[in-house]
Formats: sequence, C-alpha cells, structure tokens
Amino acid sequence: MPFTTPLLAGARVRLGSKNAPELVIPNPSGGRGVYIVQWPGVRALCSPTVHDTMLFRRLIGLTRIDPCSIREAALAVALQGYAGTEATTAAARTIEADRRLGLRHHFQLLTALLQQVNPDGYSGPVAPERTPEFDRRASNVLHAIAPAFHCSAAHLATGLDALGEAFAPVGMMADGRPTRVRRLLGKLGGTRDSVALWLDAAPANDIGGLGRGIISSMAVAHRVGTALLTATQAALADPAGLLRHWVANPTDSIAKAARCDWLLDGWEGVCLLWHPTDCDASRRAALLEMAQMVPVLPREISEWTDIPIPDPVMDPSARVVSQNDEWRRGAAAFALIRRNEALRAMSE
Amino acid sequence: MSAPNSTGLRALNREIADAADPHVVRIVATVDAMASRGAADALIAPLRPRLAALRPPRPLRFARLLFHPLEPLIVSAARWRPDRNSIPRTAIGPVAEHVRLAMGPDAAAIEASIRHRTTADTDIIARCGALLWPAASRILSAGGVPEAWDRTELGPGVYESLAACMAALLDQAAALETMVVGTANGLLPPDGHQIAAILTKAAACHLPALPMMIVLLLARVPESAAALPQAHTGATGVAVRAALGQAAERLLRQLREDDGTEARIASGNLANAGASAGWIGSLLRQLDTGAADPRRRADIQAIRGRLDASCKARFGAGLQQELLAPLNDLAPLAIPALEATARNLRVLEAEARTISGGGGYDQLLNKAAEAIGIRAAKGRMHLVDQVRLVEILSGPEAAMALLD
Repeated sequence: MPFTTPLLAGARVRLGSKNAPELVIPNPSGGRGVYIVQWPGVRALCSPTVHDTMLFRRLIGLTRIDPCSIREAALAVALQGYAGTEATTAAARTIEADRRLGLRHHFQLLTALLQQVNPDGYSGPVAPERTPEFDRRASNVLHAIAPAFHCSAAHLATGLDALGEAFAPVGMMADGRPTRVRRLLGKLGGTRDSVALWLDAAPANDIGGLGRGIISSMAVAHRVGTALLTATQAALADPAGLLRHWVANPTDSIAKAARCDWLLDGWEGVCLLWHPTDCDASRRAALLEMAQMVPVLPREISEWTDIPIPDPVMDPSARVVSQNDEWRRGAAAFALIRRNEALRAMSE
Repeated sequence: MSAPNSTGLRALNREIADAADPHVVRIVATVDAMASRGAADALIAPLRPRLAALRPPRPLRFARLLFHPLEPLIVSAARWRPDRNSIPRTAIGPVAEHVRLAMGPDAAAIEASIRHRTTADTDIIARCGALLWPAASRILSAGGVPEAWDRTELGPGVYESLAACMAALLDQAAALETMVVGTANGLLPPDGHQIAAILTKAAACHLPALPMMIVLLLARVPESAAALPQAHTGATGVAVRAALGQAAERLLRQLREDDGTEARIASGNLANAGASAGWIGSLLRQLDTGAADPRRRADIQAIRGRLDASCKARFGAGLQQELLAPLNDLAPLAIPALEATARNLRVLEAEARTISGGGGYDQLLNKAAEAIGIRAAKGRMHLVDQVRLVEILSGPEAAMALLD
C-alpha cells in the first residue's frame, strides 16, 4: 500500500471476513511477524495521515482488491491533493498518460485483430491512426467473427475494450515504446545493479546481509517479471484467441493481464527508496527501509513460470532490528511523511 | 577587490553581523570564491556561530578537508586555551600548508579530486579523507614546525602539543567516519567495538588526545556516550572515564559560553533550529547520567532551561513571521512553502518537548490552525490546503474533523 505514514511502511491490504479490508503490517519493532489489523487497530498503532485514511476509505466496499484497484485509489487520493501539490500534479499526469495508453493499446489490439482475421482479403497494413475506414473495417471484422464466438459483435467490442485496458500496462511486443511494466522492470533491474555495484565496492556496507538478500529478491522478481512480460505479450500476438478466451472466461483473461502487476506489486516503492540516496550513510539507511518493504511474491508464481524460485525469496524474512522505533516517530516522522509524499509524486 | 581599511572593515562587520541568513550565505559564498581571501577572511569571522547553524555547503579545499573531522574542536584564537581540548582556528592555515608540502604529489592528487566539490559531498570527503587523514597524522607525528607557524603567535611548544593531539585524532578520523556512516543516519546504534577500537588507538597514540577524541565522537553521534564507560576496563577504563568528564565539560562550556545555545537555535532557518535543538537535546540526555557529578548535572539543567527558552522564542517568532504573516497577505499563498514552515515548526516543537515537556506549544499551534480556518472561511484557501496545514500543525485527527 502506498501509505505515507512512516509506521505503515511495507503494509499490505487484503479482504478479510465479511469482505472488509484489513491490513497486514510488518512488526513495527523490525522483528519477525506481522500485525493483521482493521482500520481501528491501525489507529491504535499509529496516527495515520489524512492521505492514508482517505486511501483506506476508498478500499471499503471494493469486492476485489488487487494492485490495479489500489493504484487507481491511490491516484484518485493523490489527485485530490492529500499527498501534496507535487503528487497532485504527478497523479494528473499519470491518469492522462494511462488514458492515452489505454486508447493506443485498444487501437493496436484492434489493428492486430484486423490483420489476423482479415475478412476483406486485404493483407496490407491498416491505417496508423483511427479513421472512419478503420472503424468500418473493425466493425465488419467483429460482425464476421461474432457467430463463431457465439456472441454479438457488441459483446466482442466490449471485450476488446476490457482487454485493451487490461493489457495496456504490458503493451504489444511490436510496440517498442516503454509501457509501465517495462519501465518498472527497468527500475527494478537498475536498482538491483546499483545496489550490487555499491556492495561489491564496499562489502562492509551490507548490514547483516540485508543488501544481498534484497538483491536476491530483486533478481528473482526481475527474472520472473521479464519472463511473464514476454509470455503476456505473446498472448497479445493472438488477439482472436485472446478474445475467444475472454468470451469464455473474462475474469481469467483479465487476471492474466494483471499477473505482471501482481508480481511487481510493491517493488516500485522499494526502488524509489534507493535512488535519492547520495552518500553511504543514506544508502545504508535506505537498505534498512527497503528490507522492511521487500514484497512477498505471489504464491501462484510457480504456476505462471517454470523459473525455479528459492524458498527464502518466497518468504522474505529479512526483517530489520533497528535501534528502536524512534526514527519513525516524533520529529523524524515529519521528514519521513514529506519524503513519502515525494515518492508518491515519483511513482507511476 | 581592494582590501578595506580597518575602519571600513569594522563598519562592514557591523553591517554583515545584522544581515539576514540568505545574505550571510551569499557573502560567505562570495568570499569562498575569492582566489586570495586576505582581509576578506575577517568579514566571515563574526559570522562563524551563524554559519555553524546555517551549515551552507562550502568549497572543499585541502585545508577544509584536512580539518573536517576536527571541526567540533576548532575555536577562535581569542577563545583558545591550552587546557581546553580545542584547536585554534589560526592553526589551520599553517598546519594545512605544512601537510600539503610534505605530501607533495599525493596532496596535488587529492586537491584535483576535490576541485569543484563542496562540504556537502560526503562521499568525496570520506574517500579523499581516508587518503589524507592518515598521511597527515604521520606527517604531524614526525615533528618539524610549520614554516608559517609564527603567524599563529602561539610558539613552537604549543605546536608540538597540538600536533601530537591532531596526529592522534587524524589517525582515527577515517575510523570515526566509518563508525558514523555505520549508524545509517541514526537508524542503527553506534558500534561499541568500533568505539572501543578508536579510543584504544587514540590513547595509545597520545593519551592527552583522548578527551578531544571523545568530543569528536559525541559531537557526531551523541549516543556514543552510552557505549563509552563500557568500552574499556582497568587503567584504560579509568582514563576513558576521566576523558569523558573533560569532554563533557568541553562540550557544555561551548553551549554555555557566548550564548552558544541561543545562537544555535536563533541562527539559521527553522529547519536548522529544529536540527540544532535535536542535537543539543540528545547530547544533554547522554551527558545527564546518574554517574555525572552534581555540578555537571546542574550545568546541564541550566543549559536545558536556556534551550527550552530559545526553542519557545524561535517557535513563536517562526510561527508569527513565517506562517501567520504570510496567511494575512492578500497575495496568492505559496502552499508548499507554508507546509514546509509548518513542518519545521512541528519538528522544533517535537524536539523541544523532549527537552522540557513543551508546555505552551499546543496553544500556539491551535491558534495557527484557527488562523488557517479563518483564511479558509474567507474563501482564500482550498479545503485540501487547509486540511493539510491543519494536519501538519494539529495532527491528522483535527484535519479529518474538517472533512467528516
């Protein structure tokens, strides 16, 4: 969860009994174990920022909580201004970029479908932009294939909309432009390399093996993420097959698109902690915070990929026992909240 | 730039002493940029207490890098006394030149590495310092009075004693830097083994340097105080405890003399004031142990009282001038700047509360929140801006009350 309250760093959310969201919070002392609490329990633990309260309120009533819904909620709260003006501007920019990307991807998917099905016997490239001629051809295609899909052309159009939006963060393989998932994988790989270089140059900077543990988790997430990205993009190469699967099982189709998001969920926050650091003391401090935020990989990962996952990576127990909790309370909390708001402005 | 005569210099000094903080920073930057500072150096002298609080990045020169780890020990020549565990500022130039000449090409390489860098480049300081400080230690141990030592008017005997101390301290400067870096900006406790090793080596090198070494430890990481008594047993332990007493006396004197406490809080911006209050508060807590003698504890109590008063005065002034006054201005509000001010006020208040319990702050903060409410009621502030400012000043609960 992209919370700004320092004591909620690394917190995750899940639906509890009666579909009420509850938080899984790393032990604030830095030791092993987690707290599982509902919102009143959070307030007993710390004083959550207005941003976090508003974010949590947006999750109440959701029937499904996933990285996408959390991201949308976080963008909406940031857009309202509760994470400061920089985050507001960034959220507006991100929402607009998402909208454009969604449109572009929908168009690309439709284009690919046209080229795949080719009902007019026309095998040349379709227009690079949406034109009345393109729309006519798209409509013809959907009407032509609808009987074989046992549904209406309108239903297929809905499916293409949903798939276009869901797969937009992944992007078509042929589209070389960086999509959100590609950028995130780039950040993850870059951070992994940067931490590794730093530790190679001065191994004593590692704190009880935390740095190596983080690198190891990052490497697995990056490797699996890259494989998943390729697999997901491969599915986009067969838009008719994708559409057929959506007609049969829309939830599963959309879930396939979200696998990269599930896998990479939480890693952006970890990477952002590393990059503003400018000296060894700050880098060591970042390691301590990053270790507390290393995401848990989804259990389904073994079904998604053949890549072997070391057990320690599935259970990141690299918890941090720091001096005490004082560095996240009192006077220090104000700077940390500000920093967290700045990170919100830097996130996608 | 032609050198001003002494009358002109005095007039300039008076003018500069009253200058606002940003002006002071600009003056220092201008003087720092001069190839030959000459008389202009005297312009900076009265500003040094304010510079200690403002801490503007300064160009990283050979002498500044050499004395970087010894900075907490440096005092003006007028204040320097042989028995007060300090280093006169006038010694910096001659000693640095002495070391630079003795190092030859190695010094030139270091100078090339630090060219165009500033005191904010902590990685460079650590990296180049690790080359310079041990070499300087060896040079200072080897004897030989610097050619320009006469300029200090301190005599060769003083040099020998100071050089032995500086050699012992510089020998441990890189280890001290490593220990400080190891605390990860205060997230981790200082390493007791590293502290013990630093003290053992400093004592072995030159026992009279031990109090200065402890001053340096406490100045960088006040929490080191807790590890000091446990660091050694036997004769060395006795020496460390005695040195700790002297170091404590040295640090407390610095806070006592010449409005040392007040100047640190009143100078610089609000953020500096909060940081200074935090450092002084932490230092006083560490020195105020059950083992401290009654005179020292009384001393600490008195400084704590002055610190409390200074924080209250700075908080009141900051609140009025930097938050409430801009609120009354009809010009469009710079919300991020107001939020930064509000945050700095809360940091100062939070630090002050750890010193004295902080009576009176709540009332002032509530008054500020009310003023923001009035401004918002007049339609001159968006609700979300009001919520955020109230959140910073009065806490999230008060801010949520505006929304629910």
